[in-house]
Amino acid sequence: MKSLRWKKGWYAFFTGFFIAAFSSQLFGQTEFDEATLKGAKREGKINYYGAPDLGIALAPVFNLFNQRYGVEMNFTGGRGRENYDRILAEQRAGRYVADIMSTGPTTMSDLKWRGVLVSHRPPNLKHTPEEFRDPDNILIPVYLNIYGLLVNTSLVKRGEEPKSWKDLLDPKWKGRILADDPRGAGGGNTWFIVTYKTLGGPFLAELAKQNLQFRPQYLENEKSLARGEFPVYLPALAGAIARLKGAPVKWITPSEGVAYIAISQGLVKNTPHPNAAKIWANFQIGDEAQKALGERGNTPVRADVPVPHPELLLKGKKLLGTTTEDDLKQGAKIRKFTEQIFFAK
Amino acid sequence: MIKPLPPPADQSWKILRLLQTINLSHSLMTFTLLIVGFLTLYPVMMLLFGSVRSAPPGDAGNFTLEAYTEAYSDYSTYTILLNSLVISCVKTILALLLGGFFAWVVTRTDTPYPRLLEVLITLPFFIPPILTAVAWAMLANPTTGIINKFLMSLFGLESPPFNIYSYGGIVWHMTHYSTAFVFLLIIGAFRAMDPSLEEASHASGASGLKTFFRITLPLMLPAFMGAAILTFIRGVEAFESALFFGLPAKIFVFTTEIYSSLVHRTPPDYARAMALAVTLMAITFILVLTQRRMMGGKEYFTITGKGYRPQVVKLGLWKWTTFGFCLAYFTVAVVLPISQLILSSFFMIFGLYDLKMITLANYQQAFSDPTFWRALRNSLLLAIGGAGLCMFLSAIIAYITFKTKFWGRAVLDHCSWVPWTVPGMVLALGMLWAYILLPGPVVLYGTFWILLIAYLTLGLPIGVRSMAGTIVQISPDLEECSLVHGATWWQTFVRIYLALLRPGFTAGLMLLFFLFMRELSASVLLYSPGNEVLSVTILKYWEAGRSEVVSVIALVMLAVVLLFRVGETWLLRTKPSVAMT
Repeated sequence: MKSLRWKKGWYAFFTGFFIAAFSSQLFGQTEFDEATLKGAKREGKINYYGAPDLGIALAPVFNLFNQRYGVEMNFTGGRGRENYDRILAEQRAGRYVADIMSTGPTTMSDLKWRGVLVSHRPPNLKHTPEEFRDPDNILIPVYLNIYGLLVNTSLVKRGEEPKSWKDLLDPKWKGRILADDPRGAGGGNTWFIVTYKTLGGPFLAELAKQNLQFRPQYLENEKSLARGEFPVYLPALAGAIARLKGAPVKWITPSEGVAYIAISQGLVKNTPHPNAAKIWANFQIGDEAQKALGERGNTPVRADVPVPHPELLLKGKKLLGTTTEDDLKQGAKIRKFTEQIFFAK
Repeated sequence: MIKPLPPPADQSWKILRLLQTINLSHSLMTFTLLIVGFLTLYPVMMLLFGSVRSAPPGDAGNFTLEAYTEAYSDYSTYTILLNSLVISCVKTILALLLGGFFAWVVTRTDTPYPRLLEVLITLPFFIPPILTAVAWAMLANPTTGIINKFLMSLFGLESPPFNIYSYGGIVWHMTHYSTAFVFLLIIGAFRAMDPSLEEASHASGASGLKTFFRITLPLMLPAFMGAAILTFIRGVEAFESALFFGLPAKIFVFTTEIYSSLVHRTPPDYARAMALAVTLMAITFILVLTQRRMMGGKEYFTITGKGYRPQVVKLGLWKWTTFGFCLAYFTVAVVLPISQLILSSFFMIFGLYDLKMITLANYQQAFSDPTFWRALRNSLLLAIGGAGLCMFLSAIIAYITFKTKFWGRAVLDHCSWVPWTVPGMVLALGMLWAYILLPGPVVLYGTFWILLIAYLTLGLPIGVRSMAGTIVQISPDLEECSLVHGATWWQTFVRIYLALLRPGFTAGLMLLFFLFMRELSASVLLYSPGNEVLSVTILKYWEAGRSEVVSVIALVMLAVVLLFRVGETWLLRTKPSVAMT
């Protein structure tokens, strides 16, 4: 009788253990304690400031997040600078609205230096590669931008594509290269800094003589190339392949390597919904959100999440380099050089 | 029809009544001045304060003139300013010629289908410039532009005849919008003008042309001056055309330089942006003073107590030429770019017309997005409510400025210009700072009301100008007559002025409605989740690289605008603009 009771006890213990383990896998809730989960539900919503394309990429998982945690997502889509202005104004006035912010390293690092973001280490961070993590645990990486070249295959014959960044100095490309504006935050700026560090200022000065055609919106630039307005576009995101499916385009990894950056998120100081923000920060680097990002053409920061296009993978590509916080602190100097060689008035 | 009040019983009652009138009107004027001062000066003061500080408002910093020194010690600042002035000047002249001509054709000639033409001519004003910019880049770019390809094959040309990425391209794109804008601003004044003056000129033997230059044009001067100044200022402040078509051609203007201070510098250089914007404020201030001086001492009363019937100029067979000219403008400014939007809304990639890429997914995406429906509702609420409130406030301001001897009338007039003296993106920042740092218990930031306040502020220059163009034409005899008959100042304002101002009021109302429907610069900084507006939703999709979905939303916006335009013209048809006996 006693052994039977003992056995039942063991059964109950193991059953409970497996149910708990299973449900944790299924619902991903064990990463947070009861108080955080209840707190998030009580808060009921989260105000997320991010790039509009991120909002569209993640839209399918916003509902999932709501169903799972009872937290409604209020996504405020805006350019990095606009969200930056909003958050700084909110912090100065003590009228806190934003819970979480996400954008590129230039703006995020600036917010970090200003003390607007707080340190937080979500449980899923352990799945992200060490090299993209912030030692201060303030900037939490979400996805990667990989920059190479995009060519229009209707205008450029096979075998005649530029194979390296230096190939662009060939006179045949003069006036035919579409480029993202390198001033301010964005892909053009990242590429410019990385190229300046690796290929050097003289290379950029030579490139400037090719009369690059700058346009302000990188996602529209991809389409201009697809329509045949230009044969080459730089720096092109690898994700262009996903967005321009069916168009006559080819993404190229230049022989010198690709430039890349991590787009990160950060929890805002004095957030009105701290528990919900913590859970979202973790959810965004969870399986579902990372997969959704990959499908829209963003490289998930987690290497273990499959992507629909090989171009999106960073692994296996030669790397030209990335920007560091030190580079970003040299912003004014770099901007002056850019304006001097590309935008002399 | 104003009913005369019964004669007063005794003199003391009359004096009391007069005192009440004076008190009420002065209180109202002072109150109006305070409101307008808060709406316009408060955000600008925040910006000016920010321009002489080493840190934005709210942050610890020192007073410094470094931003001014940096901006104005650079020679290129003056070259860029000259670029802005020349481009704006050229496009203002073109817009005045075209807009003035179209307004005359529609209101004062027997050109067929005037109401249809009126709707068609104004449409370019309502299409977001960024969309028409993309469409024109496809139509007239030097490599694959559809128009260039067509003309090259038709005439066997070796090089493309058009390059949209040029000074000409910038002016071309800006002129479409500005022509419709001028047309909307002056059509009220054209309608409100008593044709008996022209008839008198004709009866005295003057030719049509002489009458136009000696009678019509001088009488239209207030409206034309207002429209010219607004168009010029809008030209100097214009941003999208210069950014889109100027950047590839390395053409820089003042606003792209301000934009560069905010967007191309990390952290944004607010002080430099404002230091540059001060020049635009000074230019506008000078223009307003010039206008006032030019108008000073002249009378433009064409609306008097005498009744009249609108009369049109018979053009004979020329009416079909004028009709064709209006249609040609509509085709170039609307049909060509809009056809690109319609086509692109059915394709997976904007402008890539491959049959394999036909889809309805863009419509599905737009219509299944709850934000879109919420934004549509909010935009309509703000556009209708905001335009109504703004026009009412504008009517009071215009009345005080042009029809009273109130001590603060010049200040009021200048205040009403202020929102247009500062580029939209800079003013939006001022509003954000102003309302978020607003002392006291009232919290505006994060609410729907902050958008309404911002819209009221932004609408004042247009509202006051469209009222001013008409109000100066009203003879003071009517007001005196009303007061003599015992009506109060308020009764006179409502029953005489507002009734007579209806053409200008309606034109201004519609202008503001459409302006608010597409307002972006302030909305994008001041909206909060749940309070999205259509322009912000468009920007969201645009920034997300979904210009195909943007096309869908823009088409919905156009449909709404068209509906309201048709409604407006129908209302004006059933109830004539000015009818007094």
